[in-house]
Amino acid sequence: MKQIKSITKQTKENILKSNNLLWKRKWKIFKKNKFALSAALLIILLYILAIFAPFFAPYSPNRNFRNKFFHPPTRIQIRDEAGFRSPYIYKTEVKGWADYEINREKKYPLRFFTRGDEYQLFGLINTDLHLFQVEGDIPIFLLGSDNYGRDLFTRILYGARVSLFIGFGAIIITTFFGLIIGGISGYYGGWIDNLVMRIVEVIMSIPSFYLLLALAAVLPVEISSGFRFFLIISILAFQGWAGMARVIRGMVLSVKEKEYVAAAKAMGARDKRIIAKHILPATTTYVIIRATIAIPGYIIMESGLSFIGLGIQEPSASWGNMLTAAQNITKISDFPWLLLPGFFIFLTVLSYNILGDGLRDALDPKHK
Amino acid sequence: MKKMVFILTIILFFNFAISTAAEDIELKDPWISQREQGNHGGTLITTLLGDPKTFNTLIAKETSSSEVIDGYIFEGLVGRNGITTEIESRLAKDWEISEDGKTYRFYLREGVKWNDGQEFTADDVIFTFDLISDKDIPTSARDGLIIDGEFPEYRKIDKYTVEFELAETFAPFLNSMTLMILPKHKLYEPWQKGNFNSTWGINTDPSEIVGTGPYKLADYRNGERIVMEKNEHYWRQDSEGKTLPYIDRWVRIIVGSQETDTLLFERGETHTLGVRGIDYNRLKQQSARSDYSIIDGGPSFSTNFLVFNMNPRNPNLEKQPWKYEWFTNLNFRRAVAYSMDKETMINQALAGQGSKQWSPISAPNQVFLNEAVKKYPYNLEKAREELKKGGFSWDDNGRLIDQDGRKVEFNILTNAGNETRETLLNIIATELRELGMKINSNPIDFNRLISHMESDWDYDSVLIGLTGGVEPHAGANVWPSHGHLHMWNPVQEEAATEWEARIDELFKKGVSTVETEERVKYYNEFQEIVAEQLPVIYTVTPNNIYAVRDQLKNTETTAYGGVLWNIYELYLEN
Repeated sequence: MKQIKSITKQTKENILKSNNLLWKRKWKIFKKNKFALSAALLIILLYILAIFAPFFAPYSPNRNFRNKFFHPPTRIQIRDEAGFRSPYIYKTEVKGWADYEINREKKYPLRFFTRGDEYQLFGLINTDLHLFQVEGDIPIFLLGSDNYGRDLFTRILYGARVSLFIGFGAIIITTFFGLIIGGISGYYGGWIDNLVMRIVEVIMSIPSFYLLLALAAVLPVEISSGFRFFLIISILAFQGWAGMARVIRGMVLSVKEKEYVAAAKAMGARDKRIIAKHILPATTTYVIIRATIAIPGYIIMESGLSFIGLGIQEPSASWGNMLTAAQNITKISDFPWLLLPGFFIFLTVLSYNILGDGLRDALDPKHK
Repeated sequence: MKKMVFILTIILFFNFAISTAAEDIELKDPWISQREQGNHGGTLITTLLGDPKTFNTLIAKETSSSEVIDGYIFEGLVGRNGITTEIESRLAKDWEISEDGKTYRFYLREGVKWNDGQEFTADDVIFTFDLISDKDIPTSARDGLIIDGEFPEYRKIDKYTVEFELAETFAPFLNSMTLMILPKHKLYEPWQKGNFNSTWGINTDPSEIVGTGPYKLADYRNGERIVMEKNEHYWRQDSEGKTLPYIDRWVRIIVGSQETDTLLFERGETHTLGVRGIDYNRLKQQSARSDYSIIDGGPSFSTNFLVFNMNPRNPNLEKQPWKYEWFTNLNFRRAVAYSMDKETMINQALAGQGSKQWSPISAPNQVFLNEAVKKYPYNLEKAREELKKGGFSWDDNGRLIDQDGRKVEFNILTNAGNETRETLLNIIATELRELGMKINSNPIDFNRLISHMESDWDYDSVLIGLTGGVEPHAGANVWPSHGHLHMWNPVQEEAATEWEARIDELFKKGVSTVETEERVKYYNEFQEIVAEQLPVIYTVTPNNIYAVRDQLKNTETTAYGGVLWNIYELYLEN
């Protein structure tokens, strides 16, 4: 008995090892794809910026410099008469409506790791440390300011928290339900399969954007933006899991006829264990690729919702609702920096798509 | 055979129609333009933001319909001057008011023709008032005419004279006489058959729509454009005695959005544009090297204000009775008034092109505006003082609490899609949060907002606007306590507060004399009360700015009349 146990232990290690080898090989293929790799790095960078937004941003997202609306991006100077020096900026004076003049009398150096607006990191740590600020309470607008005089850079970082994690949150819920429901449906077949697939068809035939509009419109006024965020994720996931479940079910149908599944059954493994340990892992590749491709869809959907005013509400920031400010020819021609949130959406979605493509190349077993 | 007879009758009928039209009706009382003589011809192109819903001016409820027809196809006995806003003659050349202010006699212009050639007479006027007094016709014109529950008596004296007799002296009566007169020869039959309400819908043959105005309808395509042509029988003439208007055709493109409107103008495809604040600077710069000018007409009649629900019948009060205490607390409302940063509002919501508003009478209404009302300049310190006086205080986290220790939290609603209001809402909410209140601000669908205000009464506060006019009594559905639009506490049986009772009284007195000076006194007091008691807290009002092509001559643009108020005198330079 003991012997058998040690053997199984060894086989387990062997399996793990070969598994590791497999993943290592895939990683190697992926690494060769420099394009996909840089996309992955960019995405990671964006997520780090978003997570530590309060630290990287010089201000709190609702701090408004009420005289400095539509302020163009501040030029950071790194050289003066004496040559290169530590970065500094010039103050601007209000000249007319949304018209600013640079006052070159005094230089205001940038200070790093300074104390500023207080914030809470992860809802735990209270601090007021910011990466950079300008001496003497002179506003610095790295990417310009919006029509309330709020720093666009700050709001893009805070908006990233919503826009990037909404896709992430939605895909996690989608995957969770898709895997379980698809797995059960495919494995048991029969009337369960029939019932689940009919439900899936019904959900898939609901026009999703209109459903979103309807659900978002009936959300009560009082709910906090955090809760609204959660609700939007749920709405997105609600219509997302069906497609996932359907594909998983198809894959399960074919996998469950495989010998190793029959072997597991013969050894008396329970259904739960077979589904979780033997069948679903076969779908990993698909799930990863699908997730990277679906996330940008969710990001765009959130932007769309917020853009038409039904998603994240002012004063909270999301890339979609920030773009709402740039709906006018004058604004686009005179204050083009208002379009930057759109650029970030573009960048993120593109990166995710390139990453998804690279992952498929690396993970697809038929691909050499 | 039957067909033959039918055709024959039609021919006969036409002959008859033509012969009556041909019968010479001489225009005895033309109006002669005092402006520069222009050249006739050309096509004017302007825009409309939406489609009309009907061409029947009596039942038109929305401005998208009335701005197409009123004053252009149809005209009233009298009208308001686009510059002075004073009442002047239109279809009536003159009028007399009896000493006691109860009898009005109107002398019509002789020889005025409908645009199909029929003569306009006192019968048409009588017919129009028959329509208005018909309870089966849903028209808002009726409410404005009912005085002390009675519709005025009206009678024809002779072919060119009509007389009205009022039950009580009613100063705004002359203002009501600006309503449009309809042709009896076209509408009597449909009315008798009970079809009046569906007559002259948007699918009507354009030649069926007959008015006395300077233009007549030539073509209407849903969502595309309305084409109007000069009325050859118009009663206004240029200094050479030729029939006005100068411009032959008037195309009004339906654009759907102000963005498209602006683009069309910039591309040189339209003659006039209502400029939004945000575009002002850009267009101003362009106008220097382009063929148009920008004209600032000054503050407009539109308003934006915050109103708190002071209705004891609010169904939400069962759960949160304290909200009634807060909102009826005058110190609380004053604190909110002091926290209105109107400077920033003008800059950020109106792109610098606006004016502060303090009084319920709009700024361009020079006759009735009281500039000496109590003002609440932006001052958060004073706001905090008022809150303290009202029994509010702050907890350790800086949150505002009432005397029972409840956190002050409420919703502010506004209608989604109105960018100006959404920006105002954001600015107001920021300031109130500064005072330690928790504000849930939310733009919602317009119709939902209206049902919250008018029927459900379950809102906390709303940021909305009303468009005023020259006659202060037009606010009779808002200010007196029984008004349907008395938003903070509508349709009261008896005035809930002393100051509301006083306003009721002032509105009654305001109409009981035709002496303007005396009326001004009453309406001044009314404005003082509103500014003192703050049932609504005014914010800022946009300026009316127009861009007009230099090619269009004889324009005198004002906030009240816009560019086209004297369209009959405008001409296009070759």
